Amino acid sequence: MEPVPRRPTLWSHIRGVLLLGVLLISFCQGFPVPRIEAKHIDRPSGRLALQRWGRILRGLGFELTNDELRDQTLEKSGAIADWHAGLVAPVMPAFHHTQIRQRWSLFASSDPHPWWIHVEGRFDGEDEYRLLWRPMDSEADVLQPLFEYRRLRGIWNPGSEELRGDHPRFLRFTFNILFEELPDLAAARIRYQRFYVHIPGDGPPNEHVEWRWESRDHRDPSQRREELQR
Amino acid sequence: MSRKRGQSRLEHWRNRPRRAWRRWVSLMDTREDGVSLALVRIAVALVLLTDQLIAGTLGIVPNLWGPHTQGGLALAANQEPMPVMFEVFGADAGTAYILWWLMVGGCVCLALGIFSRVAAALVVFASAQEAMIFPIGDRGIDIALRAICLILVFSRSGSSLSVEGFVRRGKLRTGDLIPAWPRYFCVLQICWIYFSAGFHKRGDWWPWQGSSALWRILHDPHFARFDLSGWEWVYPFTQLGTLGTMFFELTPPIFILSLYYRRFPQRAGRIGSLLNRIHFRELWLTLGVTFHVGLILTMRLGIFPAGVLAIYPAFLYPDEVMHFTRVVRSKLRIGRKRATAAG
Repeated sequence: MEPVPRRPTLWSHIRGVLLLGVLLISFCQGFPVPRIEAKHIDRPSGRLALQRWGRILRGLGFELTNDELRDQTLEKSGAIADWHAGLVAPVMPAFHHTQIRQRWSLFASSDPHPWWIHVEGRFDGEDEYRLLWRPMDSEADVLQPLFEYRRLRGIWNPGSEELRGDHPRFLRFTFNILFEELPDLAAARIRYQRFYVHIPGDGPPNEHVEWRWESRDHRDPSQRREELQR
Repeated sequence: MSRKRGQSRLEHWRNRPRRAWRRWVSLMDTREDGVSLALVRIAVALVLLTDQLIAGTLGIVPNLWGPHTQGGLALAANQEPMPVMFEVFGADAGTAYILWWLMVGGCVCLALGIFSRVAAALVVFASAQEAMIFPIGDRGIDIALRAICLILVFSRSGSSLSVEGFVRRGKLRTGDLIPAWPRYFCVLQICWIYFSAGFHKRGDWWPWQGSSALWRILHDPHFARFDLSGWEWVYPFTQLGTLGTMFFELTPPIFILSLYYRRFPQRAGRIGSLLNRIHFRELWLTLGVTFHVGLILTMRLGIFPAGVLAIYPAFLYPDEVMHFTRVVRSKLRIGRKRATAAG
């Protein structure tokens, strides 16, 4: 069965205009206009990109230093992003109320230094912390379905250099639920390990790991207070 | 497009916009059987429903969509103005449950085809409220499925495979002809998602940067399903996967052309004929399904792969869906006959 075209009516033309308008508006909203900020350029990957583009542009005959390129990039990017924001401003309420955006970046970059969250606990009568849960570890699976629920991962999965804004409430939530679910748990700790993903054939593996963003809590309120004061 | 006999080149070019407009209007005015869009409606609703049921089973509804003063994880109750749900029902844990029930009810009605348009609107509203209250938990797939549900609001997706269709016609497959443009828009939406995602990719996604992105992502413990340490021989395959992903995400414009030329083979020039001859549409869709099945097998991305695959029936013409159904039915019938004969 082939789709059936109908003889166009006045409504057909009106609908054609409306649908074309929707497509154009969505395209404008989703058009990739980057707002590059100083913090983006000043991070290591940004500096590398700046050097690379500086070399390319100088190779093409443009006489400018990396500092000049940095300043011009910030200025032009800001101006274009402002112009784009002004252009789509009248229709933004529709996007806001439906919470729909048309700019998609799914795994836009890969991280050579990923983070690995570790949830650990110290039980009554023990001195050492034990691993309770971390992703991709079948032996550390306490409350795994809860922590791995995709909406929660949005909070505990950090950005490349900083934790999410809602992280403090995730800590409170996690400590509360751990003390509730594990009656003999005396203390809990959440911290992040960072490691380097080695590319095969790209020199010797870098075994260095780094720990960051450690938070602890105790079941005993007096120890909790001490921890907070520290 | 060739010129008509007796028509000057200038006249031909002058008529081009008018001709393009006529074709656009006619394309948007096309009607077809509603079975493909009905499948999208059902699959999208079921994926959204599953996600809500997981949140409900885990017992974290008030944490996700309640105010921070009562265990909520986000600060929506401090916003000015607050999300509508908090404004109307108060910033309270009970509001989180009302929102959850609205979403669950909307998804059930949408899947069953009970007041489909209203149900789709309800899902868009409730899902948008969930996004406003807990923005960090609103992932790309939520936005994509919300956009699809918004298209369904303006469609007649409930005309077939639905309770409302059954009540009206006394059968599930009503055969009613419905406007085809909502299905086209679903196709455009998903193609834009892929293309925009491909366009935004940087660094080692590109061949001149080593195509090592997939290898690195598969080592990210927050997303990977398996530990790949010691599996270095897999690296070239992940490079191939990276190249395949980039090809897939950057070729939706060609895919849309292939759809157009398959629908209107008489308008196909050299490129259109080539796309039809090599079955580009089928190849691209196979690559897409493989891509998402690969994601399901190797990564933990929640509802993302299933959510995108739920939109895939929009890529199928209704006659293809019906043909597939007939083939499956006849196979089942043969199987039943054999079982009866053997028994």
